[in-house]
Amino acid sequence: MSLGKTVVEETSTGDSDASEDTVRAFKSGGITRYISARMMAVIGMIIIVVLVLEITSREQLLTGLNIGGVLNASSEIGFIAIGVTALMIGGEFDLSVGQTFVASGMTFATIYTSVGVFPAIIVSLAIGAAIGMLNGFITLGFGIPSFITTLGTSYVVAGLILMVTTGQPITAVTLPKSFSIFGGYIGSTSIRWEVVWWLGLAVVMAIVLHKTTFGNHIFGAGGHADASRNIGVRVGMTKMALFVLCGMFSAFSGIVLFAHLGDIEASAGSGLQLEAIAAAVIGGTALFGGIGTIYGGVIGSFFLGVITVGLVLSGASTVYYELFVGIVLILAVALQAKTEGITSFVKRAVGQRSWIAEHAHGRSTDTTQAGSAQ
Amino acid sequence: MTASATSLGATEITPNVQHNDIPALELRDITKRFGAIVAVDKVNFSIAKGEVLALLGDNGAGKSTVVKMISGATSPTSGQILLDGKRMVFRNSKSARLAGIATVYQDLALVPTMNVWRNFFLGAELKRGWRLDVKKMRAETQQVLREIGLRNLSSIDQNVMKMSGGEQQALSIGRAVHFQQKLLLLDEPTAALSVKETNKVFEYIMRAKESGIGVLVIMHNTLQALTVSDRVTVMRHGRVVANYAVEETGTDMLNMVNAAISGIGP
Repeated sequence: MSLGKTVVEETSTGDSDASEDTVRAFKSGGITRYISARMMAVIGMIIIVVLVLEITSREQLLTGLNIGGVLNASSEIGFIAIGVTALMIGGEFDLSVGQTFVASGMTFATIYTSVGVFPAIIVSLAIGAAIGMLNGFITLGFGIPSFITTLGTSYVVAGLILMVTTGQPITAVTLPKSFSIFGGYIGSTSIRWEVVWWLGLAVVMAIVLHKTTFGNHIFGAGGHADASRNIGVRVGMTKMALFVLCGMFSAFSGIVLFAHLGDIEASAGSGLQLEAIAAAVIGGTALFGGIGTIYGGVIGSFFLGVITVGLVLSGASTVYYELFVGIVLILAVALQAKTEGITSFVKRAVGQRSWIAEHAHGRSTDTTQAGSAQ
Repeated sequence: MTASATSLGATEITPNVQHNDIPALELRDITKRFGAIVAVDKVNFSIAKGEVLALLGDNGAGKSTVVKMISGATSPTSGQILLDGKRMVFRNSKSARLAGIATVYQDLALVPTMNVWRNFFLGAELKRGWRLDVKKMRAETQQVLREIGLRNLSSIDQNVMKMSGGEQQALSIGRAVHFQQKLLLLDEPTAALSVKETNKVFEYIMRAKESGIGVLVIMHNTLQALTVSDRVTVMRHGRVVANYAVEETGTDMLNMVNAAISGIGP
């Protein structure tokens, strides 16, 4: 049977029940095939949304200038989404990323003139790391769900920010030239350097996640913490590292925002935590941990960027943004949940089962190794 | 083989399955008290290398407390645990694992969202430089699963949650064999399995045994225990009440063991 050939790898046997088992394994589906189908659904949805916005914006969205705008808009949430995605794969949440973003960005804005840009970046990243570490200590030390811990720390940090700044924004008189490593445009394009940083860091994080021991332990800790601990994975250390990394990604985003805007205020981070979770979830990250990809988080961030810019170009008021994100989030997750059913329906309808099996499997092997990294 | 109490008239048979010299595991007068309650009372038994011992007993007989002491989850009040002839004091389950005791729990062994080869090497990843040596890990997993007889798996890239319970047991057992553990501790390995899968798991246990590993199986089902093991040890009220070498699995044997478990002397 043709399925057998594509699915069995070096394990074919002469047993009479070999093909039966293969068929069973195929039917039960290989999560790998499922995940890649999920991502296809999300990408398909992005294409549809892009086309709709292209029409409503009177063909303005897909111009070179505005594609740059989309990427720039994506990168801000994108940095945070990288950290949040990795943390969620590890089975934890961080609702304090928005406040970490502001606290670090403001620290940077306050001190760069006196200590220099590079040391200011280090200090700001350290603040992000410290907030992440605090989240980790409370969550792991007291066994409190991170959802609650980070909700608490987000309020605490927000309160501290208001105390220190008394609600005043921090504005740079002139932006130093060195800021252009983040905020400057690449050549004559409309793309800022921060996009390169974003995608570069995403690639680095994806490699860490899928190609290193640490990454393997992240998937283990998020998938089944007790089983991982039982086999010798240091679950606590792994999660702690993730909290710290997530704080640092948020801090980095705050620095980058100030570098191109020259202005940051206490409310700049509101809603970011949920946007970052939305980006991760749209990109296929499981809410309960153990499943997800960095490229999914990147795609999710891109999706949010498309909506932001597309709505502006369509002349829609920004009040529609949240409405739109909400609908898209629910649609994306619903699509992912039902993809398996839809694919099998299509398969039956088209009657080209083996063709789809071959293609789906070919893709899924990639996904497992580089993508979902089970 | 210091078989203990024959207090209830159960026949004691000195086991004849004596592999080389030092037993893989030996328990000497292991006792566990919880306050005034004696959960495990001076239990003695040993498992030779390449031997399968089934530990039987009703609920509350003390089996799981024995398992917990061997796997390091709790420490004995008194008595000694000898692994490969060396006296061991396990502070936690990690130290027991590092000493060479592989405990396979029903649902605590594998990460369901990870694929086969990643599960196989979780916590003991092979690396080339700083990177995971994916190629080598996949190849070795493939080979071990073939050796242990798990050949019908569609792909080692499939997620463990898509595998059957028997296949999951096979993966855990294969992992214990591959990492050259001294003792394989299986807690109710067939509790949730179909008959066909149970037989498969028994095959895997046999392969593990052939590799020279000592196997301790905790079971409820007497017939299954007689099928898979070389010897059975029966516990009741925290004590070892009987020890049998399994030579044949006939009705007499079955009745005798069941009588020992329930405390109705033959």
